[in-house]
Parts: sequence; C-alpha cells; structure tokens
Amino acid sequence: MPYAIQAENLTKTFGSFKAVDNISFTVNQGEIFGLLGPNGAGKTTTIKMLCTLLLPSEGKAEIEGLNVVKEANAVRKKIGVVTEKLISYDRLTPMENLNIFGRLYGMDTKTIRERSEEYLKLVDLWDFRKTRVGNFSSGMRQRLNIVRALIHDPEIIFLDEPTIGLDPTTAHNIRELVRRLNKEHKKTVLLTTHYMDEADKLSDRIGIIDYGKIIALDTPTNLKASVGPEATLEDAFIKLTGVKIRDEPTKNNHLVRPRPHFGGRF
Amino acid sequence: MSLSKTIRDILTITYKDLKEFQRNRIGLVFSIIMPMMLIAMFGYMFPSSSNVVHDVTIGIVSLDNGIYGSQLSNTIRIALSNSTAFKLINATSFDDARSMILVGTVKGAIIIPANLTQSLLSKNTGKVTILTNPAETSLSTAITQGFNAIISAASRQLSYTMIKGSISDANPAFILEPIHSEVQSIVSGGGSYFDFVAPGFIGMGVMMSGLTAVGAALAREREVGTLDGLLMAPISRVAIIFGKTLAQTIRNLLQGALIITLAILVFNVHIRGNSLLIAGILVLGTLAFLGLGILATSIAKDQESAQFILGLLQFPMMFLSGVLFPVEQMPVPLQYVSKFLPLTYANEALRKVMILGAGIDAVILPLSILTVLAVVTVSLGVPLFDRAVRR
Repeated sequence: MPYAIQAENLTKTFGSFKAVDNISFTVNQGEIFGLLGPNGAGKTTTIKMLCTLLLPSEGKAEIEGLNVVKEANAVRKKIGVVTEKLISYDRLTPMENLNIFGRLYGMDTKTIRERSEEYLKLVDLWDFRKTRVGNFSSGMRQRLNIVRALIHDPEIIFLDEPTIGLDPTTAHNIRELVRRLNKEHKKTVLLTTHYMDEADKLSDRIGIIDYGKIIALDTPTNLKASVGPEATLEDAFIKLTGVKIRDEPTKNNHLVRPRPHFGGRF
Repeated sequence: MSLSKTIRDILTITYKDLKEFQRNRIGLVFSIIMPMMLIAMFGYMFPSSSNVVHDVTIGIVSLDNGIYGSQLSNTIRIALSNSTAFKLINATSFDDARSMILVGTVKGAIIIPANLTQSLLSKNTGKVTILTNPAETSLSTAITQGFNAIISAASRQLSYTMIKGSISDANPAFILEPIHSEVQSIVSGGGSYFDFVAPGFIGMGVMMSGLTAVGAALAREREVGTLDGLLMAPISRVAIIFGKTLAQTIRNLLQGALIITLAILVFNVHIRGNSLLIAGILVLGTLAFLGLGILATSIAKDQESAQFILGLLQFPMMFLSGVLFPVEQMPVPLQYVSKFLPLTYANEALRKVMILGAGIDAVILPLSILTVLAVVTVSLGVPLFDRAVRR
C-alpha cells in the first residue's frame, strides 16, 4: 500500500528565496501528521504543493501514489483542504456553497444533500443552512470551511491552522471533529498549527520545519523526551527553532515571498 | 476530464457567479443605472436636432448705415429672432465686441464693416467679420456655422435681386446654382449622433468588461480565498475560465439589451438589425476581449503590471476604435493604428447591423477577425492562466 503522502526532495523557490528546501517525509495511511514551524518556515507552501495549488520547483510529491503535478486532478479527488483563508461564498447559504463544491467534485444532488445535512448537523450549522454565509461569525465560517473540505468524502485531509483565531470551545469542537474523522472514518490528516498542545494531543507524529527544512520528525513523546523528562512539546519546539521571533514574509521585508497571482482588481 | 463533466463544471461556475451577482444589490443597481446614465448623458449632450446650441448671446456691430448694411443687419436680426440658438446684443465697435467676449457678456460677434454698401454698389464683394473665442472651440464652430448659414442666405437673396434687376428673362436660381445636390440615406429615419454612438457604447462596454471582468473576478476570488477552492477541485482550468466567461457574457447581453431598449424608448434610436446577429457579435466580442484580458493578466509579473497592460489596451481602444466619432475622421496614421484594435471591428459589425440592418454577409470580415482573435487568445490564455496561478 502506498504512503498516504510522500514528499521527496521537495523544493519551492520564489525568485531567489527558497521557501521550501529539499524536504522529504512520508505520512502513513490513517495517520495524523503534525507539521509545526515558526512563521514563514514553509508549512503553508509545503501544503500548497501537496494539494496541487503550487508547482514544486524541484523534487516530487505523491498522494496515495499519484503524482501531484502529473496526476493533479486524480489527487484533487482524494484530498480535502482546509486552508488558512476561508473558502466559502458570502452571498450564498451553506447549502448553496456545499452544493456548488459538491457538484464540482462530481457528486449527485441526493448525496450532496445527505452529506451536507450530516456534516452541518455535526458542526452545529444545520439550523443556519439557509442563512447567508456573510452573516456568519468566524467560528461558524471555519466550521463550514471544514464541512466544505469534507463534502466529497476525501481520504486525506489537509488542515492548515484550522483553529486559528477561534474561541476555546469552537477550537475544542474542531479538534474533536478531527479526532473522530481520523478514528471513526479512518481519514489521514496532515495538520499545521501554532498551538503546541493541539499538535501534541492530535498528532501521531510531528515534523518540525524551519527555514524550509525539516529539522526534526518523530512522535510527540520522543520529541519531548529529547529535551528532558518533564519537557513539553513547546520546550522541544523552542530548543529546535530558537527563541528569535519570526514574522510572516511580507512584500516589504527581505523575506519577500511572491505569492502566485493572477490578474488584478481593476 | 470528460467533455460532459467540463460542461457541467462550466455551468456550475456560471450559476454560482450569476447567483452571487443577483444577490449583490449594489452591483445590480449599478449595472442598471450606469447604462441609463450613459444614455442620458450622451443623448442630451449630442441631441439629434440641428440646433446644437441654445440661447447663446452674441453681439452685432453694424458700422454701415447704407442700404446693404441695414438690409444685412435686419436679415440677421430676423433670422436670429426666429431661432432659439442665439440672442442678440448690440455692440458699438470691434473693440467693444472683443471686450464683451473677453468678459463673457457675449460668446461671439458679427461685425458689418462701414464700407459694405459702398463696396457692393461699386460691384466689389463685401466682407463681414465673425468674431469668435478660440478658448471655446466647439461653441465657436457652432456660432460660425450658424452665422455662415445666415450670411449665405442673405447673400443669395441679394444676388437673386440683383440678377432679376439686371436681366429681365433670367432664371436667378439657375444662374446662382445650376446643379444642386440632395442627400438621401440608404435607410429611412435615424442619422442622429446617438444612432451612431449607441452601438459604439455597447461595443465599448463589451470591451471594458471583457478585458477586466474575468481577471477582476479571479483576483477577487483569490483575495477572499475562494479561488483556491476552485483550483483544488478536480475540474479543468477551462471550466473556471469559461464558467466565469459565460456568466459575464450573460451579464453583457442583458446590459446590451437594456441599453438598446432604453435608447429606443427614450432617445428614439433606430435599431434595424437582427437581434440574434447583434447578440452573436456581443458574444464573439466578449470572448475576444476576455481572451485578450486573460492573456494580458497571465503574462504580467504582478497585479500592477497587469493593470498597466490592460490600461495600454483599453485607452487606445476607447478613443481610436470609432466609439465616439468615425475612424475615418482621424489622421491617417491613427487610422492605421485603429486597424490593429479589435474594438474597431466589433464597432464596425455592430454599426452595420444596428444602424443599417445589415445581414451576416456584410459583417463577415470583422466577425472573422474577432473569431480568430478569440480562438488564439483563449487557446493561449488558458494554459498561461494555469501556469500563472500555480507558479
């Protein structure tokens, strides 16, 4: 059986800036894999390459044995991605949003309706199914974002900071949902987060990425043990990455990371 | 990716875009108000009647008290009293008239010289001076045209009287104008400026929305993050572009229909052509400009460069493609430039069909050029778009 995710010497450069530098790792079927790193370390760029949003500059990546560049559409059917930005249309209702994305994944109307009902109930949004998303709170939007990523029943789920900015209750519910998806539905999960506790509780293995390179990859227990008997995951993270505060690359500092773009607002 | 799946995806994205547009109340209102504003503005700015100015005050300086000076002065006064274009104010001298123009009391003046009667009685031609303000060129042109017509009529009347008095059996009309011309249009009615400009505006609207709409819609989706949702779905890039294109085309067709309806109802514009052929030209124009827009924005390094390239395409087309005035009125070098602008061909086709009621055979050349442009730009634009969003 192929790995759920396999990255081999994966590299991404933007101009002279190397965002991801020759990383290799594998994620097993049914595993929750945490990818941790400071701001600008290359987590999101790695996820974007794995889910076909960015072309790798070098190296290769496979999802269940399918090449992310050559077999991009086959890969897309197998993955569900919760990105940092919420993917939903504000002027449409949750049902309309799910209907649009479900259709794009080739689902029939009946299945879309049934699965929408199941997942919207699971994230407590069923009562708001006819409310326009523009009226939702950030927590409600993020829950819908997760449902949108699950609507086509993907085998592998990418979660890029799924609980960022959410209140503790919503974040807890989302973590529980991830756990259930993994345990009950056997979904493979690749998770990035800044919350060490979240990564510790959820992940089977954790890769720590810094300056575009994977600098450690092990189980949370082993990572903590490498620092000391009472050490937390945060201690291990700080030991590996240092205490220097990092900023997300912006257009105005030297870490310029040109975002892929298309066209402009005219 | 099967063709049927791609078609379904195109329709899904089109439906989504139109649904969002339908719920965007401000956008919806603007898309109705803007054509109405354009029509009202240009309809009233360039009315169809011959009186292009109204109640313009002009001065008259009559320095000749002889028979012909008085006669001409009276003719001018009578002609102007019958017109709503001009109001007359007496001035005493050239300098007085000039001062009145400078302070704005009058917009122009006519000066009948002291020696007019003497010149004419000694069988020499007389000369009347029309004083204009070069700071107001359009108004000066209108005043000059108005005065020239009056002086011409007065001059002809004088000749008529003189011929009649000199040769008893003469036909003064034959002597004055042995051959005269008659203007006849190949279609009945119409001929107003708005008849000319309405198709140009529809063409310009198609060009502007075509060039920018898909790029802008995709940029907006990227900004809010939803483009990633489309790009991560197992659909062809063609479906994304064509879905948005179809939604924009439907919007353009509805807007074009609205402009035509308002133009007919409010400004009595004459539309003669087949509505299906007009719709066909609009669709083809939209595709050609969309392809060009996608190509331009895909090859641009960043958003600012894309705007610059689109500006370079838009502005020459707005002014050099015959939207506001015929291409043939432009200097020859610019006429050559206009041949390289696709809007020239869209306007040519729209005018032939809308104003002249021409059939498809009369617009084969412009339609062929638009078709080639649409095929080439869309074929090149789609893979470039894919590279642009994933690079």
